[in-house]
Amino acid sequence: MLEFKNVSVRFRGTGSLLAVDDVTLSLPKGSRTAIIGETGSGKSVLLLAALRLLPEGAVVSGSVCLDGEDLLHVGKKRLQHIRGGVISYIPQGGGASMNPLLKIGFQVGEPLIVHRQKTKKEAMAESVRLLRRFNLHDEDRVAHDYPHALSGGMRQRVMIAMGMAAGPSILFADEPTKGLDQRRIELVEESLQQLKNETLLCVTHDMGFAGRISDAICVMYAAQQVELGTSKEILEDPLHPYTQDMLAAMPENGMVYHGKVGALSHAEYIGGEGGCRYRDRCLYCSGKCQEKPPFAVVGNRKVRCWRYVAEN
Amino acid sequence: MLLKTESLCKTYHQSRTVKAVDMAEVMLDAGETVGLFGDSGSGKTTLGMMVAGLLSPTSGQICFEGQPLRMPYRGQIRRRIQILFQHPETSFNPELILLRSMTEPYRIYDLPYSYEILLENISRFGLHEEHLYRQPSQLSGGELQRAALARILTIQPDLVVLDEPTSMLDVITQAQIMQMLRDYQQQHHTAYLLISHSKAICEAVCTRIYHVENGRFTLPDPRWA
Repeated sequence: MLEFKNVSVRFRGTGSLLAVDDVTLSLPKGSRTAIIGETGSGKSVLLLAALRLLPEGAVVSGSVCLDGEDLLHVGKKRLQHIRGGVISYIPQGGGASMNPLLKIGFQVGEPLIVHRQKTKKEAMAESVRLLRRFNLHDEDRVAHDYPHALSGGMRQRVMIAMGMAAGPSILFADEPTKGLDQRRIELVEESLQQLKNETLLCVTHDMGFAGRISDAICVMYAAQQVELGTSKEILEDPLHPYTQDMLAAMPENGMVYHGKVGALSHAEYIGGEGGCRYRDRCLYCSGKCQEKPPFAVVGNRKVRCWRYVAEN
Repeated sequence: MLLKTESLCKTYHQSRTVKAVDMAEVMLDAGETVGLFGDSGSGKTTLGMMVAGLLSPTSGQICFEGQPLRMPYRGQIRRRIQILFQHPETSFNPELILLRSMTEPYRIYDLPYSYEILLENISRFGLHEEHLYRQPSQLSGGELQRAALARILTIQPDLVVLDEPTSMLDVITQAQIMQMLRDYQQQHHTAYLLISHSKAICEAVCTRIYHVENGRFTLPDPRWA
């Protein structure tokens, strides 16, 4: 069980601007959760904060508890064991994360040498088996190739295989399908479906992909959670206006967007005087939205919108 | 006809010979959006780069308003045909604040410039004054793509090659950028050659879609012919 409790992240030198604002999220064992939202909404920062991979200027508060142990306060040696051994992180842009001078097979097997005390030979044999498991055909050849010889989709699947090498129980995947074509997205999807007992936390901006690989979705906007519920409920009947707008803007639904056109200004990002951060773009904005909405329970899910607070 | 490629071919000679574009016959009218849809590596971007004048064809030719184009592009052709890349960060000098990059087209093409004109231009694309004083690394993908688009459209091109302009962006930013492109097209009658691996995006915005596979460009669906 992994639990994010009231996690906030601020970068020094940005004043009161929070990159992640009071996020609370529970990941039961074996669950599959997707975090969706636009670029800069704090999705990736949340994953990096849990593994303490943010730069020194980041100030993280709250707690990230792994079976009761707060990852934000464990010692360095224990943290090193958890990274890769218990929680694996697959970063954005798979190709850039690999060493261009080392063979794929060695890189996939390296976590076994570090965390499971395997020899290089044993790790290489295990790499080939992992590459086969994650649909890298002709795995013997791939294991002896260098990263530049693989396509973007293949590199992404190699990263998943590398992430699963040491047998972690939790997998963090950061935008694993960004920039890939449909056929390669399907292959990454198949790879993630291979996970049986592992807990998955996947950050993505692709709503269709999120729906297919997860059973719960957390929607983030301007550093805050705005909706949390089962994937089915959120995709079939979104409650928060931002989630509704995202669904309407999908190409399959005609790419319709009625809100204000433009990038978020600093004032919008911090919510002006503390009101709802989506209010300037929201079709349902009312006077009440000048105040900060609570992340309220609505049926089986949670929504940050005054419309539903009023109904309850 | 604004653009017509005639038996256009591009062959790469690396460890093996790859025919990236094979006898492509693509046509595009003024004010029209034509899609090139296919998987990664099928040859879409190679064709787009040739149309934009960034790659020379191995054989065949590209005709613009009936006249064959010669590489490298010079003079007005360089202004009239532009390209928007998938990774907007590659379009900007990482050392410069956005303000300096955004003033480049005014300087290069000797367009009337004032700070107020620039502010009005970027505001049409949803950017604010505060964005002008940031470096590319301090801007999100969506903000950079808006800036890249604003910079290209400042010089009023007749044809823009859009190479996966939204594949790195979230759905709302994607819809906003496509809407901006449509609005601009209605006002200025600009033609777009849209490269995408998303059939849904092509179907939402294109008048015709070429299916691209192994360097071959076909119009498979009679609806789009």
